[in-house]
Amino acid sequence: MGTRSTSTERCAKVWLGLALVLASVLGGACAKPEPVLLGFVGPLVGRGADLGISGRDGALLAVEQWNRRGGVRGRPVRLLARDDGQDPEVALRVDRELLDQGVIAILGHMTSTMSVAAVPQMNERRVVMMSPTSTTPLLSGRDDYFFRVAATNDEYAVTLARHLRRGPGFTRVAVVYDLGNRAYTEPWIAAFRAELEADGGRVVAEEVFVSGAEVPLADVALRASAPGIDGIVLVAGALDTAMLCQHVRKLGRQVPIAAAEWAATERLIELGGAAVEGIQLSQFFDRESPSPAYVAFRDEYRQRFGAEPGFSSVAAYDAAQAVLTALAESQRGEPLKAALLRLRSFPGLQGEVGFDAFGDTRRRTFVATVQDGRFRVVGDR
Amino acid sequence: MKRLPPLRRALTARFLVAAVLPLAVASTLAVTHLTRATRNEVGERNLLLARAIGGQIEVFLREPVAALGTLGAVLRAGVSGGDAHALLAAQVATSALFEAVLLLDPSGRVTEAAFRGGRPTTRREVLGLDLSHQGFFREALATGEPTWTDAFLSLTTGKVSLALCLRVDDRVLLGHVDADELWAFAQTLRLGHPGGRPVDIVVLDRRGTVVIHPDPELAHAQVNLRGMEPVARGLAGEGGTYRYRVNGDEYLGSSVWVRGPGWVVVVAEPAASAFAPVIEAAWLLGGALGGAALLAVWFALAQGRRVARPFAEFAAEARGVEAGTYRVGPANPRYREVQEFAAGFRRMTEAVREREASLRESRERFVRLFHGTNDAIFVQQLDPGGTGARLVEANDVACRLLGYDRESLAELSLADALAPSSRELVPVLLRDLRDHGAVLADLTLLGRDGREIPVEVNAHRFDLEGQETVLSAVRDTTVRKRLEAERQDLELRLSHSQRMEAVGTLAGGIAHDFNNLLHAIGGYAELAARDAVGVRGQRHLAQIRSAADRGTELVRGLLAFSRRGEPVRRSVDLNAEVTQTLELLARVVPRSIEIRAALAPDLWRVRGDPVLLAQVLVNLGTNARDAMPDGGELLVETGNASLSAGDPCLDPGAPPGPYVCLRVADTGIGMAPATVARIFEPFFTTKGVGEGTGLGLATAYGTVRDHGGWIRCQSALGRGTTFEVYLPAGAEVNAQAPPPAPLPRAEGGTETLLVVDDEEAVLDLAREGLEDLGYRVLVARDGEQAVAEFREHQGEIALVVLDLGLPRLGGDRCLEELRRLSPRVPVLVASGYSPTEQFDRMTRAGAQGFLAKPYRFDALARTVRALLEARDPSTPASPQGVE
Repeated sequence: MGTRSTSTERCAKVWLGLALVLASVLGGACAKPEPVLLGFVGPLVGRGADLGISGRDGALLAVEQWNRRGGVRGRPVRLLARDDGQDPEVALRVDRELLDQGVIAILGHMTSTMSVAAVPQMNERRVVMMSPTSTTPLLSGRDDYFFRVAATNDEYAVTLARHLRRGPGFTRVAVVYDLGNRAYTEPWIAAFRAELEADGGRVVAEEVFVSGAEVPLADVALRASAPGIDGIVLVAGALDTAMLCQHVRKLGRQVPIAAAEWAATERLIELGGAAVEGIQLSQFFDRESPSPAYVAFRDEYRQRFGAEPGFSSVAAYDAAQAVLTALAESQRGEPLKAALLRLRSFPGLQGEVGFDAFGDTRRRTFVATVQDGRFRVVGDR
Repeated sequence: MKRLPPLRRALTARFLVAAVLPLAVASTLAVTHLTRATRNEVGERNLLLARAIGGQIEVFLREPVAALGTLGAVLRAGVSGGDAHALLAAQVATSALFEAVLLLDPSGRVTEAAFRGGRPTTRREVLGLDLSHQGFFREALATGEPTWTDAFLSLTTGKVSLALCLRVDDRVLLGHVDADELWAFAQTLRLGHPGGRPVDIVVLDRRGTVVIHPDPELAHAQVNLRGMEPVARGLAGEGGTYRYRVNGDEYLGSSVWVRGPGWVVVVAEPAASAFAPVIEAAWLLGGALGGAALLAVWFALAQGRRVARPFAEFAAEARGVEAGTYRVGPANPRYREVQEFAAGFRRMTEAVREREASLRESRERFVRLFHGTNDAIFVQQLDPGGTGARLVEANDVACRLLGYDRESLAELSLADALAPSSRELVPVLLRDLRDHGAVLADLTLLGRDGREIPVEVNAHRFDLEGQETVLSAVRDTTVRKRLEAERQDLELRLSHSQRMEAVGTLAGGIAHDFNNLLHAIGGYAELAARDAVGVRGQRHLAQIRSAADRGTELVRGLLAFSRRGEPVRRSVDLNAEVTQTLELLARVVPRSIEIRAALAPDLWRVRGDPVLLAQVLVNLGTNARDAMPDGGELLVETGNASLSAGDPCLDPGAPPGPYVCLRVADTGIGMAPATVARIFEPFFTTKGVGEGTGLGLATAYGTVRDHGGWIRCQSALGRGTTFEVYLPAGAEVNAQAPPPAPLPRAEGGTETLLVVDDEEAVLDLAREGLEDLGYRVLVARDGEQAVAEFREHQGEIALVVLDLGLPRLGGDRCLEELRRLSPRVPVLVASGYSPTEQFDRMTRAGAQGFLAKPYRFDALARTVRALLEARDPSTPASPQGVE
């Protein structure tokens, strides 16, 4: 009798236990952990959208990977992407909106001018801004909340200038640059000019435009390709660079063209077509890299978005990884900035990415060219 | 004891399972079924909606395709450059959807372009641009069919665009779609949705990039959703309904592929909304389940309480029974089983109560027996090896016997409880117990105060609850042993007394006969002396006479020993007699013996014969003297003694009461116990031949016996001897006989005398002697003859000499007859027995004189003469006696 009684009770206990488990599961489902909000801000619409969209998709891939692994400390990560419209006012507004929503950090901006505009607000709010692609030296060497995974653009400029002098032998150079992103373009031009002229070259023409403004790029192209100029250097986004290249070639000028790393997206080849064949660009991103991490990333990116990842995809992916890794490894109560600085370095898709005490990073830079509709690395990688 | 669950809880659990389980299973099945049905229904509905939207999109896009087709047909017919621009501009102007239309030459260069609003600068910028590397160009050339591009960054518009491509011969027409128009179209799709439930309608291009979305920003920002299952499936041509998650929220998405542009339409609905009816039903069922569970619990608790209550009451009553109260049965049994159980419980309780009462009574009886017995009882458990024993229980007697309380006794070892002399017996006793199961032994225990206690132990072994146990009944034999010793002593003394009695009787009988012989010898010697001549003859006769006298003395001693006489009873101050006698003794004991007297000043008086008592002291003193040949001390003490029953000094047979003790102690050689045992026997002597008669102590013994007392003798070799004479303390009774009248001279007469005696020699001697003195002597040899003679010669007979010990009518009866026949004739009684014994009796019977046999003839003659002369014819003669 005692035994039956006990077994009945055990049965009841099992049921009770099941009910409790069910309740806890349901309760857990109802009270799921608050997601970690991560902001992304960049040009998602308009002329510079290729940089922003592929950057957002790279960051999204990283977030999706983290979420598949269970999130950060059990909390899912949610990427809130916003378009800064390449307008400082819009940038500040969307940043503020994201900060108000409680993002732990903002991945962005993708362009230097937007970053320069955004950083004071981030410092004020003490929230990290991790830029994938802002390379302006204006934000270097500051103890602020600005971090980045890209090298400063003077490195690219110097690399490209040195290459152009020693390779194609640019001597009399016309530079064309976008004043819409002058925080990027002007330091770039300055660094390029210094290196070029130190190496015996000379900038003989300087043409500027504002991307998206009703300024006929055909005219800019015409002036930049005036006789006596043996090389044109374009410092602009992919669309503008492609357009300028098309106009230069449309004019029938066969002068060699080089471009800043900003333009080195897949859209450049798509939009530039034959006109961009042979142009030389500074790069930190090697599309031919055999790095297993990169190859896996590339394959997954293709699968996920049906497109090739660009440098901004890689940079945004690395930036997202940096932030989420530091967050996951932060100690209790430790600010993200401190955690990032403590992290010092992490494995990027194409090599170790390290931060200095100011959150700046140094990356390997090299020169690529467009050959048969593809980017090819020139010289040493 | 294993702790079992309470009945109420068990019942509750079962009720709960019974009530909830079917409902839970049914609810689960119902919810599962409902979920599946809802999913199917929602899926089908949304799929239908998606297909409808797909159809609308197809229809919506058919118009621009047709318009571009018409334009293409016109261009194909061949128009000049200016006309071409006009055609394109007209198309832009007339089409709501196209914001720009471009014509590309076979190399992909823009040969003509028209923009909404003209925009000549833009047109100039665009003309000549090489778009050959853009995917749509190659696709349009390859298919020849109108082709919708994916969202792309347009060089011409400077923003992300959709475009429709159409090959016109070897050229390509490109119509840029106005996103705002597309958005407006999307709005119409939303309007067409029935039901009002929040569903999202998303249209995606062939890469999964959002073309139409409720949030237009997503479309502008080219958000790619191909990672979502319905999108991926839709792009793969596998339209259907799928569940998927976005940012943790679950959705139900139905997707269809739109044939024309190859886009995918997804109608997505949050699962929470889609399954709202199911969730509602689940809540309802859950509520019902909870309610049922609560109801079941309540019912089970109530029922369990009702069922369990009698058992709780039984448990309480069982505790009551345990505690000794016997109230049974629940107040109101509600079930037959409980009722039957209660009845059984009641019977059981009654049985228990009776059994307990019986047990208690039995135990009380046992306790009374155990503690009430005179024996000490020890219960011990034998050690496994059988070498020792541990005390388990002992009764009160045992505690008292040893002088321990129960606790101390329990800690006492067997060896501690035994006197050293008995300890060595323990192994033997234990072995006997093992071998035979019982032991009977005399042991000596050691009391707490060190006192040794002789005991008799009767132990037997038995098995008690698997333990070898020994029950010992121990009896204190101290008193018994003392009593036994006393009894032995008593028996010894009784036997001695009886022996003395027998010896006395024997001696008395012999003495009587011997007395007659001496009487005759002495008498005839006396008679012969009257006639004898010559000095020598006289001397010989005197020697005979002397020997007869000595024999007479001996016989008298024997008679005294054998109580053949009764002492004269008068109040005697024993101290005075002792004092006088000691003076006499002082002359017969040597100076080497010191006589000391310790006389109690307030000594009670005794009843007795002072002369005989003095003789006792003389005999004892003489004995003491003989025991101290080398001198010593003779101590004579007197004292009072109140002897109670059981007093060791009290002679067996003697009544308890006040006694006077005369103690005669010497410091002489003492006697062995065997000698002491025979010391009072006549003729028993340790002295040499001629040193003693062996009658001294026997005479003393007889004298004291005659006085109602006894003599104790305590002696040991070398330690002297003490005699203790106990005489009953008497009242002041003075039975002193009157002083006898002086006897006349022995002279004869002529009167007729009747001499009665059965002894022929005595008779002859008396007749011959009296006849010599002139008397006429008649003789009779027995009582009857005497009476006959007296009757025959009545009047002649002046005096009768009567022996008391006569055959045929004894002396007493004879005297009585004579007194009856003639009270005046004096009768002289002659008897061999002690004259003092007979004196009173004979006087009362009417005898006038008394003569102790053997008497000297002179004494007879003088007594006869005195009685004859004293006779008074009117009064009986006054009694005359001779000792």
